[in-house]
Amino acid sequence: MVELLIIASRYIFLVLISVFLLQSVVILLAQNRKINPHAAKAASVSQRVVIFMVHILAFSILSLGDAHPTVKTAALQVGAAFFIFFILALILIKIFYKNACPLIINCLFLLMDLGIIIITRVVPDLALRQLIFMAAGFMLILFIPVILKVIPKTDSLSLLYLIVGGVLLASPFLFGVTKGGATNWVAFNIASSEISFQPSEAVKFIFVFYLASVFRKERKLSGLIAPIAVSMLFILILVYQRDLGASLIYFLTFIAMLYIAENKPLLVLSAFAAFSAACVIAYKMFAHIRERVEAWLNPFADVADTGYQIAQSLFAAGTWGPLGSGLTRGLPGYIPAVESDFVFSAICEEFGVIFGLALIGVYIVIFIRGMEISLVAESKYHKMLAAGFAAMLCFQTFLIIAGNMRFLPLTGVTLPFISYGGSSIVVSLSMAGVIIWTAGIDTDAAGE
Amino acid sequence: MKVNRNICYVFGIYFVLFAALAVWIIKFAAFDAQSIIANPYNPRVNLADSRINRGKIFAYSGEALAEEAESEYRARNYPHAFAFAHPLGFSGYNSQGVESLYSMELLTVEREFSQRIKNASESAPIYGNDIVLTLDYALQSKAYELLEGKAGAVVVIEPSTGRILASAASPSFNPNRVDTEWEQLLADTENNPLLNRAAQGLYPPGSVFKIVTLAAAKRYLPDFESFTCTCEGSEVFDGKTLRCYNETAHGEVDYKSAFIKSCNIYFAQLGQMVGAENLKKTAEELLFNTDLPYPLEYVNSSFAADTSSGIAEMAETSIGQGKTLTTPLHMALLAASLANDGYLMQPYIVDSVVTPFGKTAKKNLPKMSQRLFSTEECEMFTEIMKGVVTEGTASRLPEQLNMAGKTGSAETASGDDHGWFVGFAPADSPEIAVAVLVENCGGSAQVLPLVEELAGVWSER
Repeated sequence: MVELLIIASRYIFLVLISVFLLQSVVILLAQNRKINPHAAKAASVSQRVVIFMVHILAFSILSLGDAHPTVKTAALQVGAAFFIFFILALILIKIFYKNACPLIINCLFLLMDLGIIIITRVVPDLALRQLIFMAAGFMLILFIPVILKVIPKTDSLSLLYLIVGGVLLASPFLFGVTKGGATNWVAFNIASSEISFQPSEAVKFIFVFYLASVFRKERKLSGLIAPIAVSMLFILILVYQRDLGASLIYFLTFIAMLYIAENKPLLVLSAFAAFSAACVIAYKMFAHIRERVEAWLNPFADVADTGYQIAQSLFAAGTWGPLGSGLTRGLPGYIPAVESDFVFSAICEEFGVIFGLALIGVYIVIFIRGMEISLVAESKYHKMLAAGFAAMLCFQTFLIIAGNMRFLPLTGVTLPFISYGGSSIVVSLSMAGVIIWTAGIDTDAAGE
Repeated sequence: MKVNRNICYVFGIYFVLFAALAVWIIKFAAFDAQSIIANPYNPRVNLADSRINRGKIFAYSGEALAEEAESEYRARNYPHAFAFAHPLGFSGYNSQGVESLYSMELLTVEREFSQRIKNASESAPIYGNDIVLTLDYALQSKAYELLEGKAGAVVVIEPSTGRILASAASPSFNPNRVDTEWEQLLADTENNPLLNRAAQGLYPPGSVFKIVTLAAAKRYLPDFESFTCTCEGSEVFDGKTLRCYNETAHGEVDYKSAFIKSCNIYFAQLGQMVGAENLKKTAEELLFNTDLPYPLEYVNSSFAADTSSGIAEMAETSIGQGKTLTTPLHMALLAASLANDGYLMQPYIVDSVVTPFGKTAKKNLPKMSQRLFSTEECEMFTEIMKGVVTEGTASRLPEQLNMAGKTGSAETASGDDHGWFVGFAPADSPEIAVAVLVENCGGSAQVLPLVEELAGVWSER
């Protein structure tokens, strides 16, 4: 019987995510008062029902199917725990936020649910851990209004951001651990258990706050020297640590915020020119970059070694046709680092490429909403915050999906809200939290 | 407000990027995926659901070529073992050929829901889709029969469509026993039975290459038609003595008589006049050093001469000796495009995918690959290739076959010459293009009886 459920699920998941996207459009229209604003409420409820159904269907397959026994036990625990987390979160968000955007919250939970499903599927031992990080990240979302109220004038702390960010980014040079070819992890031993995190993730958060506080006022050209120098320094540190993905994300976020705030296309163009030159130099200087580019251009030339990862990713997404293999039926485990860097390919493998495209749609909904929030924000500082975080998440999502599907060379960054990784999920959720908070600020202000 | 406008611009760019990515993914899933998944490093292809009966493979004329054996533990049964082994390949570990490339199609379950329900309730078997090949059973069987006991290959293509009617190679192997005999098959480096000589065997083309040399002359020497030379049976080129076959002195020859009689001296001189650069350019336009549009495993032909080559090497290269190497498949493709007004149709071997319920799930249609020869060139070659058969080196082929072709006897470092025949029939409205190669048989004279029998099978149909 589970057989039939799995076959049917390939269609059902697709229908569910289509309904979700359709309701997203309804909410977007209602929030812009193009249609009756009350339609948003019903649409939001049906989105939550969709998430619930996706959750039940996926965890039924994982716990009843012929998957590995460890998957089955993990599925029961994690499935139940995530469900409780979801319900509690919906209650708590109402208490902490007067007007939290239901659309972003629903999208976040759909993505996190898919993340926990795919992590339970491929690395069941890590699923509970990931759920704890998700809960921690969500707690941060809840406390963002309080924190930002307690710390007054977050817009005038640029020097503090700069120092803290710089120290954190440089910390891997002192306590660094090398993972996946990049020296960008910091490890501490506290009470004989190792705690490690990625400073480049945490500093993303500080970096956008720094730029927003610098750009909150119109500046003369001479006033731009400091932020440009600081950003370049941060990016160079990341390049030196071989964290190519993060340095790209920092660079493009910086460019986006610079352009939005200062409206100097010439400056942006020259930055891109300098960046292209830097890419060429980096290509010539670093063997690991050349290797990546070659694996991108022709992954099958050296399929046994350098091309292996991207080739497996393409096999995963391409073998089973548009509807995928069905959950538990594919072989996503053959892709190295599938749970952190290649979740998109794993989802395409078992849920199908059409589902993958719909998933991109869910991200787009978040980014459209982020853009709208930034457009209607009252102050330039808040505009910069919302736009900066949305742009950062947007580019990160684009970069990793493009890398998975061989549209661009691979840069090892995580897929926000889905990929396994504590630092990543906590920071991504916090960023989304600031966007949600920005939306709330102005309704408060309008009410006063 | 400029800030808001800029926000819209920035996100506009991002959304355009995502749209491009989505188009890329759709293109990948719809078009590119099919051709990359059949890779030995893709474990998914061999992840057969043990409940699915792999689909059957049929010749175009209807004979079953591969089916599931009716035994306790399931195995694949290949009723016509040796004759079809190379193009068909085999499934399972180390899988090759059509069995490997189309494995996913053979395991695709049509009406999966109803088949699975029947399987669960009545334990009825689940069937994958069947595949119908373009191979003609009679031609393929005859081709292998003619090659049996020799080493060589036969490729037959329908010029107007690119359908592969036969692709045989010998020595062959028994795909029913690859599992048990794998080590021996690999170890047999003398006979190399696993090597598909039709598409993966590299041979000096010999006089067949004169097609390329003459095409280059036509393209780059405006007055080549008036060029004649006197052949005395042998001539020294920068210390290297070139001989015509049996050292026959052909006397005064022009391009027509030299091609028809296969005069090496004439073509060695013609090649010098064309020059290395132009000859190389023409060879590459005619698919040397280039990927072929072929669906199964193959190797590229190579043309090595260049501007640094000396007179002796150029003379040898012009008559298909030297470092030039090609495959029977490649020569058959040249013949097929000459027979189709210069247009090379993309060769294909799978005609259609058929569901167990009799519905055609997929049908491959002829596709133009590229144009290799101009109409004028085709007319010239048809005329002189007819001459080869009526009055030249292939005159022992019976007139009623109405063939056009070119013979070749390629010298080898060890042993007797390889024999070649490349051509098409009927000469004026071609239905088949062929390339036949037999290793170390002594020369083209030994190949012509094979061509005759093969063409006989075709005309009897």
